[in-house]
Amino acid sequence: MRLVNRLLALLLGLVLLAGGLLLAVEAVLAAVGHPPWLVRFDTWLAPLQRTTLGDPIVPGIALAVAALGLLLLFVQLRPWAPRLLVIRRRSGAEPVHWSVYRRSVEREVCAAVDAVAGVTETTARLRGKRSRWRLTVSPRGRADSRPQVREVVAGQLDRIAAPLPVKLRVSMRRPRRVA
Amino acid sequence: MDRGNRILFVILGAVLLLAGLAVGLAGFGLIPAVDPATRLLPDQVRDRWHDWGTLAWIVAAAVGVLLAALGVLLARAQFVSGRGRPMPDLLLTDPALTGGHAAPPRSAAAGPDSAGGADSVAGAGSAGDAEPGPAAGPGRTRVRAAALVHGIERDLARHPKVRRVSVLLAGDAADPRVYARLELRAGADVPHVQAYVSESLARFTETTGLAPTDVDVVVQLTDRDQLRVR
Repeated sequence: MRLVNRLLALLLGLVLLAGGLLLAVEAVLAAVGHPPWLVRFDTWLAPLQRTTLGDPIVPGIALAVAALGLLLLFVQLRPWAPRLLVIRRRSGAEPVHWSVYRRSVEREVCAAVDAVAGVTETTARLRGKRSRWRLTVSPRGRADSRPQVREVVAGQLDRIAAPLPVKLRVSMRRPRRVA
Repeated sequence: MDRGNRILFVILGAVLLLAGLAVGLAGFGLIPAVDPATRLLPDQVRDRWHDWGTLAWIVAAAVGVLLAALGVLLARAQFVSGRGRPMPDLLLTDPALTGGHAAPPRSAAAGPDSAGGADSVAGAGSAGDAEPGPAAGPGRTRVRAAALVHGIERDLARHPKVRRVSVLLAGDAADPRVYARLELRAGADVPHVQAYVSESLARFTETTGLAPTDVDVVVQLTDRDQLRVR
Protein backbone atom coordinates (compact mmCIF):
# COMPACT_ATOMS: atom_id res chain seq x y z
CA MET A 1 0.00 0.00 0.00
CA ARG A 2 2.90 2.32 0.66
CA LEU A 3 4.15 1.83 -2.88
CA VAL A 4 0.65 2.38 -4.27
CA ASN A 5 0.41 5.57 -2.23
CA ARG A 6 3.73 6.79 -3.56
CA LEU A 7 2.70 6.08 -7.14
CA LEU A 8 -0.66 7.78 -6.61
CA ALA A 9 1.03 10.79 -5.03
CA LEU A 10 3.51 10.95 -7.90
CA LEU A 11 0.63 10.78 -10.38
CA LEU A 12 -1.26 13.47 -8.48
CA GLY A 13 1.85 15.66 -8.45
CA LEU A 14 2.31 15.28 -12.22
CA VAL A 15 -1.38 16.00 -12.85
CA LEU A 16 -1.14 19.13 -10.70
CA LEU A 17 1.99 20.20 -12.54
CA ALA A 18 0.50 19.66 -16.01
CA GLY A 19 -2.91 21.11 -15.10
CA GLY A 20 -1.40 24.11 -13.34
CA LEU A 21 0.90 24.93 -16.24
CA LEU A 22 -1.95 24.51 -18.73
CA LEU A 23 -4.15 26.81 -16.65
CA ALA A 24 -1.40 29.41 -16.42
CA VAL A 25 -0.70 29.32 -20.16
CA GLU A 26 -4.37 29.51 -21.12
CA ALA A 27 -4.97 32.33 -18.66
CA VAL A 28 -2.04 34.35 -19.99
CA LEU A 29 -3.20 33.77 -23.59
CA ALA A 30 -6.71 34.87 -22.68
CA ALA A 31 -5.42 37.92 -20.81
CA VAL A 32 -3.48 39.14 -23.86
CA GLY A 33 -6.40 38.44 -26.17
CA HIS A 34 -5.02 35.37 -27.98
CA PRO A 35 -7.22 32.39 -28.85
CA PRO A 36 -6.97 29.42 -26.46
CA TRP A 37 -4.20 26.87 -26.98
CA LEU A 38 -5.69 23.50 -25.97
CA VAL A 39 -8.83 24.16 -23.92
CA ARG A 40 -11.76 25.64 -25.80
CA PHE A 41 -13.75 27.43 -23.13
CA ASP A 42 -16.89 27.79 -25.25
CA THR A 43 -17.31 24.01 -25.54
CA TRP A 44 -17.73 23.45 -21.80
CA LEU A 45 -18.91 26.86 -20.65
CA ALA A 46 -22.35 26.62 -22.28
CA PRO A 47 -23.22 23.17 -20.84
CA LEU A 48 -22.21 24.36 -17.37
CA GLN A 49 -24.51 27.35 -17.75
CA ARG A 50 -27.40 25.13 -18.84
CA THR A 51 -27.04 22.22 -16.41
CA THR A 52 -28.74 22.46 -13.02
CA LEU A 53 -28.00 20.69 -9.75
CA GLY A 54 -31.20 18.70 -10.20
CA ASP A 55 -30.22 17.19 -13.57
CA PRO A 56 -29.80 13.43 -13.07
CA ILE A 57 -26.19 13.40 -14.21
CA VAL A 58 -25.06 15.86 -11.52
CA PRO A 59 -26.11 13.89 -8.41
CA GLY A 60 -24.90 10.74 -10.16
CA ILE A 61 -21.40 12.12 -10.68
CA ALA A 62 -21.43 13.69 -7.21
CA LEU A 63 -22.30 10.41 -5.52
CA ALA A 64 -19.62 8.62 -7.54
CA VAL A 65 -17.11 11.20 -6.30
CA ALA A 66 -18.38 10.71 -2.74
CA ALA A 67 -17.97 6.94 -3.10
CA LEU A 68 -14.41 7.45 -4.34
CA GLY A 69 -13.70 9.66 -1.34
CA LEU A 70 -15.18 7.07 1.01
CA LEU A 71 -13.07 4.33 -0.56
CA LEU A 72 -9.96 6.49 -0.24
CA LEU A 73 -10.72 7.20 3.42
CA PHE A 74 -11.35 3.53 4.17
CA VAL A 75 -8.13 2.38 2.52
CA GLN A 76 -6.04 5.03 4.24
CA LEU A 77 -7.58 4.81 7.72
CA ARG A 78 -7.69 1.05 8.17
CA PRO A 79 -4.69 -0.32 10.09
CA TRP A 80 -1.76 -1.24 7.88
CA ALA A 81 0.60 -4.10 8.57
CA PRO A 82 3.93 -2.64 9.69
CA ARG A 83 6.73 -2.75 7.13
CA LEU A 84 9.42 -2.96 9.80
CA LEU A 85 9.43 -4.55 13.23
CA VAL A 86 11.90 -3.85 15.99
CA ILE A 87 14.22 -6.66 17.03
CA ARG A 88 16.24 -7.12 20.22
CA ARG A 89 19.39 -5.09 20.40
CA ARG A 90 22.60 -6.19 21.96
CA SER A 91 23.32 -4.92 25.42
CA GLY A 92 25.79 -2.19 24.72
CA ALA A 93 26.32 1.52 24.79
CA GLU A 94 25.98 2.05 21.04
CA PRO A 95 22.91 3.99 19.96
CA VAL A 96 21.88 1.32 17.46
CA HIS A 97 18.25 0.75 16.47
CA TRP A 98 17.61 -2.63 14.92
CA SER A 99 14.62 -3.58 12.84
CA VAL A 100 13.69 -6.27 10.38
CA TYR A 101 11.44 -6.41 7.35
CA ARG A 102 8.19 -8.11 8.40
CA ARG A 103 7.72 -9.98 5.14
CA SER A 104 11.20 -11.46 5.28
CA VAL A 105 10.49 -12.83 8.76
CA GLU A 106 7.24 -14.38 7.54
CA ARG A 107 9.07 -16.01 4.64
CA GLU A 108 11.81 -17.37 6.90
CA VAL A 109 9.34 -18.82 9.38
CA CYS A 110 7.34 -20.48 6.59
CA ALA A 111 10.46 -22.02 5.06
CA ALA A 112 11.63 -23.32 8.45
CA VAL A 113 8.26 -24.84 9.34
CA ASP A 114 7.91 -26.43 5.91
CA ALA A 115 11.14 -28.29 6.63
CA VAL A 116 9.41 -30.19 9.46
CA ALA A 117 8.51 -33.72 8.38
CA GLY A 118 4.87 -34.02 7.36
CA VAL A 119 4.23 -30.28 7.31
CA THR A 120 3.66 -28.29 4.12
CA GLU A 121 2.13 -25.11 2.70
CA THR A 122 2.80 -23.01 5.78
CA THR A 123 1.51 -19.49 5.89
CA ALA A 124 2.61 -16.98 8.49
CA ARG A 125 1.09 -13.68 9.53
CA LEU A 126 3.22 -11.37 11.63
CA ARG A 127 1.69 -8.29 13.19
CA GLY A 128 2.41 -6.07 16.12
CA LYS A 129 3.28 -2.57 17.12
CA ARG A 130 6.95 -2.61 16.31
CA SER A 131 8.37 -4.33 19.41
CA ARG A 132 5.31 -6.41 20.39
CA TRP A 133 5.07 -9.24 17.91
CA ARG A 134 2.03 -11.38 17.24
CA LEU A 135 2.74 -14.33 15.00
CA THR A 136 0.17 -16.70 13.57
CA VAL A 137 1.55 -19.76 11.80
CA SER A 138 -0.79 -21.96 9.78
CA PRO A 139 0.90 -25.07 8.42
CA ARG A 140 -0.85 -27.93 6.73
CA GLY A 141 -0.13 -31.16 8.58
CA ARG A 142 -1.20 -33.52 11.34
CA ALA A 143 -2.20 -32.02 14.66
CA ASP A 144 0.50 -33.94 16.50
CA SER A 145 3.14 -31.93 14.63
CA ARG A 146 2.14 -28.84 16.59
CA PRO A 147 4.80 -29.10 19.35
CA GLN A 148 7.50 -29.60 16.78
CA VAL A 149 6.25 -26.62 14.78
CA ARG A 150 6.24 -24.47 17.91
CA GLU A 151 9.76 -25.54 18.69
CA VAL A 152 10.97 -24.69 15.19
CA VAL A 153 9.25 -21.31 15.24
CA ALA A 154 10.71 -20.51 18.66
CA GLY A 155 14.15 -21.38 17.36
CA GLN A 156 13.66 -19.12 14.37
CA LEU A 157 12.43 -16.24 16.51
CA ASP A 158 15.46 -16.58 18.74
CA ARG A 159 17.76 -16.61 15.71
CA ILE A 160 16.06 -13.51 14.34
CA ALA A 161 16.39 -11.78 17.75
CA ALA A 162 12.66 -11.23 18.04
CA PRO A 163 11.65 -9.20 21.11
CA LEU A 164 10.41 -11.75 23.63
CA PRO A 165 7.81 -12.76 24.47
CA VAL A 166 6.17 -13.22 21.09
CA LYS A 167 2.48 -14.02 21.09
CA LEU A 168 2.58 -17.18 18.99
CA ARG A 169 -0.43 -19.00 17.64
CA VAL A 170 -0.06 -22.23 15.67
CA SER A 171 -3.15 -23.14 13.72
CA MET A 172 -2.74 -26.54 12.07
CA ARG A 173 -4.71 -27.12 8.89
CA ARG A 174 -5.73 -30.58 7.78
CA PRO A 175 -3.28 -32.27 5.45
CA ARG A 176 -4.46 -32.76 1.89
CA ARG A 177 -5.90 -36.14 1.13
CA VAL A 178 -3.87 -38.12 -1.33
CA ALA A 179 -6.08 -39.50 -4.08
CA MET B 1 6.98 10.45 3.30
CA ASP B 2 4.64 7.49 3.75
CA ARG B 3 2.89 9.19 6.64
CA GLY B 4 2.66 12.43 4.67
CA ASN B 5 1.09 10.63 1.72
CA ARG B 6 -1.39 8.95 4.01
CA ILE B 7 -2.41 12.27 5.56
CA LEU B 8 -2.68 13.84 2.11
CA PHE B 9 -4.97 11.09 0.83
CA VAL B 10 -7.08 11.16 4.01
CA ILE B 11 -7.65 14.89 3.48
CA LEU B 12 -8.33 14.35 -0.22
CA GLY B 13 -10.76 11.52 0.54
CA ALA B 14 -12.61 13.62 3.13
CA VAL B 15 -12.90 16.55 0.71
CA LEU B 16 -14.20 14.30 -2.09
CA LEU B 17 -16.67 12.63 0.25
CA LEU B 18 -18.05 15.87 1.69
CA ALA B 19 -18.17 17.69 -1.65
CA GLY B 20 -19.77 14.73 -3.41
CA LEU B 21 -22.36 14.30 -0.68
CA ALA B 22 -23.15 18.02 -0.57
CA VAL B 23 -23.69 18.32 -4.33
CA GLY B 24 -25.53 14.99 -4.50
CA LEU B 25 -27.91 15.89 -1.66
CA ALA B 26 -28.46 19.36 -3.10
CA GLY B 27 -29.27 17.77 -6.45
CA PHE B 28 -31.89 15.57 -4.82
CA GLY B 29 -33.38 18.60 -3.08
CA LEU B 30 -32.48 17.37 0.38
CA ILE B 31 -30.75 20.59 1.40
CA PRO B 32 -33.50 23.19 1.91
CA ALA B 33 -31.16 26.16 1.51
CA VAL B 34 -30.12 25.14 -2.01
CA ASP B 35 -32.55 25.11 -4.92
CA PRO B 36 -32.04 22.05 -7.19
CA ALA B 37 -32.77 24.31 -10.14
CA THR B 38 -29.58 26.27 -9.47
CA ARG B 39 -27.23 26.16 -12.44
CA LEU B 40 -23.75 24.79 -12.04
CA LEU B 41 -22.35 28.05 -13.39
CA PRO B 42 -24.84 30.76 -12.45
CA ASP B 43 -25.05 33.96 -14.47
CA GLN B 44 -23.89 35.98 -11.46
CA VAL B 45 -20.58 34.13 -11.41
CA ARG B 46 -20.08 34.63 -15.13
CA ASP B 47 -20.93 38.32 -14.84
CA ARG B 48 -18.58 38.74 -11.89
CA TRP B 49 -15.79 37.09 -13.92
CA HIS B 50 -16.36 39.51 -16.81
CA ASP B 51 -16.45 42.44 -14.39
CA TRP B 52 -12.97 41.59 -13.18
CA GLY B 53 -11.65 41.65 -16.74
CA THR B 54 -7.93 40.96 -17.16
CA LEU B 55 -7.40 40.73 -13.41
CA ALA B 56 -9.42 37.48 -13.34
CA TRP B 57 -7.06 35.89 -15.87
CA ILE B 58 -4.01 37.09 -13.98
CA VAL B 59 -5.35 35.50 -10.78
CA ALA B 60 -6.10 32.30 -12.72
CA ALA B 61 -2.54 32.24 -14.07
CA ALA B 62 -1.15 32.74 -10.57
CA VAL B 63 -3.31 29.88 -9.27
CA GLY B 64 -2.04 27.72 -12.14
CA VAL B 65 1.59 28.47 -11.29
CA LEU B 66 0.89 27.73 -7.62
CA LEU B 67 -0.71 24.39 -8.48
CA ALA B 68 2.22 23.51 -10.73
CA ALA B 69 4.68 24.35 -7.94
CA LEU B 70 2.73 22.19 -5.48
CA GLY B 71 2.77 19.38 -8.05
CA VAL B 72 6.56 19.62 -8.38
CA LEU B 73 6.99 19.55 -4.59
CA LEU B 74 4.67 16.56 -4.25
CA ALA B 75 6.34 14.60 -7.04
CA ARG B 76 9.83 15.40 -5.78
CA ALA B 77 8.96 14.39 -2.23
CA GLN B 78 8.29 10.84 -3.43
CA PHE B 79 11.99 10.42 -4.22
CA VAL B 80 13.36 11.81 -0.95
CA SER B 81 14.46 9.29 1.66
CA GLY B 82 13.56 11.45 4.67
CA ARG B 83 16.87 10.72 6.36
CA GLY B 84 18.37 14.12 5.84
CA ARG B 85 21.17 15.20 3.59
CA PRO B 86 24.17 12.94 3.07
CA MET B 87 27.20 13.79 5.16
CA PRO B 88 29.66 16.20 3.52
CA ASP B 89 33.33 15.35 3.14
CA LEU B 90 35.46 15.19 6.26
CA LEU B 91 38.45 17.34 7.20
CA LEU B 92 41.18 15.81 9.37
CA THR B 93 44.17 17.72 10.73
CA ASP B 94 47.71 16.47 11.22
CA PRO B 95 48.91 17.29 14.78
CA ALA B 96 52.53 17.57 13.59
CA LEU B 97 51.62 20.39 11.26
CA THR B 98 48.83 22.11 13.14
CA GLY B 99 50.29 22.94 16.51
CA GLY B 100 50.92 19.58 18.12
CA HIS B 101 47.39 18.39 18.70
CA ALA B 102 44.84 16.82 16.43
CA ALA B 103 41.62 18.73 16.03
CA PRO B 104 38.44 16.69 15.92
CA PRO B 105 37.21 15.91 12.42
CA ARG B 106 34.88 18.43 10.93
CA SER B 107 32.74 18.64 7.86
CA ALA B 108 34.09 20.30 4.78
CA ALA B 109 32.14 23.30 3.53
CA ALA B 110 30.49 22.85 0.18
CA GLY B 111 31.91 24.60 -2.82
CA PRO B 112 35.44 25.43 -4.00
CA ASP B 113 37.89 27.35 -1.89
CA SER B 114 40.62 29.49 -3.31
CA ALA B 115 42.92 28.87 -0.34
CA GLY B 116 43.27 25.17 -1.10
CA GLY B 117 46.32 23.55 -2.60
CA ALA B 118 48.13 21.92 0.31
CA ASP B 119 45.50 19.28 1.05
CA SER B 120 45.68 15.60 0.53
CA VAL B 121 42.50 13.87 -0.54
CA ALA B 122 41.50 10.42 0.61
CA GLY B 123 38.76 8.68 -1.20
CA ALA B 124 37.76 5.53 -2.95
CA GLY B 125 35.89 7.24 -5.72
CA SER B 126 36.91 7.82 -9.30
CA ALA B 127 39.97 9.76 -10.28
CA GLY B 128 37.77 12.78 -10.75
CA ASP B 129 37.19 12.83 -7.00
CA ALA B 130 40.79 13.60 -6.24
CA GLU B 131 40.67 17.34 -6.69
CA PRO B 132 41.86 19.89 -4.16
CA GLY B 133 39.07 20.41 -1.68
CA PRO B 134 37.95 23.35 0.35
CA ALA B 135 40.29 22.67 3.26
CA ALA B 136 42.85 25.39 3.81
CA GLY B 137 46.39 25.28 5.13
CA PRO B 138 48.95 22.51 5.49
CA GLY B 139 48.46 19.24 7.31
CA ARG B 140 44.82 18.82 6.52
CA THR B 141 43.33 15.77 4.90
CA ARG B 142 40.01 15.72 3.22
CA VAL B 143 38.17 12.41 3.32
CA ARG B 144 35.43 11.89 0.81
CA ALA B 145 32.13 10.91 2.42
CA ALA B 146 31.72 8.38 -0.38
CA ALA B 147 34.96 6.75 0.77
CA LEU B 148 33.65 6.49 4.32
CA VAL B 149 30.45 4.86 3.07
CA HIS B 150 32.42 2.49 0.87
CA GLY B 151 34.71 1.59 3.75
CA ILE B 152 31.95 0.74 6.19
CA GLU B 153 30.05 -1.16 3.49
CA ARG B 154 33.09 -3.28 2.69
CA ASP B 155 33.71 -3.96 6.36
CA LEU B 156 30.12 -5.07 6.95
CA ALA B 157 30.11 -7.18 3.80
CA ARG B 158 33.06 -9.19 5.16
CA HIS B 159 30.72 -11.06 7.47
CA PRO B 160 30.02 -14.40 5.80
CA LYS B 161 26.28 -14.17 6.41
CA VAL B 162 25.92 -10.68 4.97
CA ARG B 163 24.85 -10.92 1.37
CA ARG B 164 24.40 -7.27 0.48
CA VAL B 165 24.95 -3.97 2.29
CA SER B 166 23.73 -0.48 1.68
CA VAL B 167 24.87 2.35 3.94
CA LEU B 168 23.93 6.01 4.10
CA LEU B 169 25.92 8.49 6.16
CA ALA B 170 23.92 11.55 7.15
CA GLY B 171 24.36 14.51 9.47
CA ASP B 172 27.78 16.09 9.85
CA ALA B 173 31.06 15.42 11.64
CA ALA B 174 29.64 16.59 14.96
CA ASP B 175 26.47 14.57 14.64
CA PRO B 176 27.08 11.66 12.27
CA ARG B 177 24.20 9.28 11.63
CA VAL B 178 24.50 5.88 10.02
CA TYR B 179 21.69 4.12 8.19
CA ALA B 180 22.43 0.59 7.08
CA ARG B 181 20.41 -2.06 5.30
CA LEU B 182 21.77 -5.57 5.60
CA GLU B 183 20.56 -8.42 3.45
CA LEU B 184 21.42 -11.63 5.23
CA ARG B 185 21.89 -15.11 3.85
CA ALA B 186 19.73 -18.05 4.80
CA GLY B 187 20.24 -19.24 8.36
CA ALA B 188 21.99 -16.09 9.54
CA ASP B 189 22.16 -15.69 13.30
CA VAL B 190 21.05 -12.10 13.86
CA PRO B 191 22.60 -11.63 17.35
CA HIS B 192 25.92 -12.74 15.87
CA VAL B 193 25.55 -10.23 13.05
CA GLN B 194 24.65 -7.57 15.62
CA ALA B 195 27.90 -8.25 17.46
CA TYR B 196 29.81 -7.96 14.20
CA VAL B 197 28.10 -4.65 13.36
CA SER B 198 29.09 -3.28 16.78
CA GLU B 199 32.70 -4.23 16.13
CA SER B 200 32.52 -2.68 12.69
CA LEU B 201 31.15 0.57 14.13
CA ALA B 202 33.94 0.60 16.68
CA ARG B 203 36.47 0.22 13.87
CA PHE B 204 34.76 3.01 11.96
CA THR B 205 34.98 5.32 14.98
CA GLU B 206 38.62 4.37 15.59
CA THR B 207 39.58 5.02 11.97
CA THR B 208 37.67 8.20 11.26
CA GLY B 209 37.24 9.78 14.69
CA LEU B 210 33.50 9.90 14.03
CA ALA B 211 31.27 8.53 16.78
CA PRO B 212 27.81 8.02 15.27
CA THR B 213 25.10 9.53 17.44
CA ASP B 214 22.39 7.48 15.80
CA VAL B 215 22.63 4.17 13.98
CA ASP B 216 19.64 2.62 12.28
CA VAL B 217 20.11 -0.89 10.96
CA VAL B 218 17.40 -2.64 8.96
CA VAL B 219 17.77 -6.36 8.37
CA GLN B 220 16.31 -8.31 5.51
CA LEU B 221 16.33 -12.07 5.80
CA THR B 222 16.65 -13.99 2.57
CA ASP B 223 16.68 -17.65 1.65
CA ARG B 224 19.68 -17.14 -0.61
CA ASP B 225 22.84 -18.68 0.73
CA GLN B 226 25.28 -18.91 -2.16
CA LEU B 227 28.72 -17.75 -1.15
CA ARG B 228 30.71 -15.16 -2.98
CA VAL B 229 33.69 -16.26 -5.00
CA ARG B 230 36.61 -13.87 -5.02
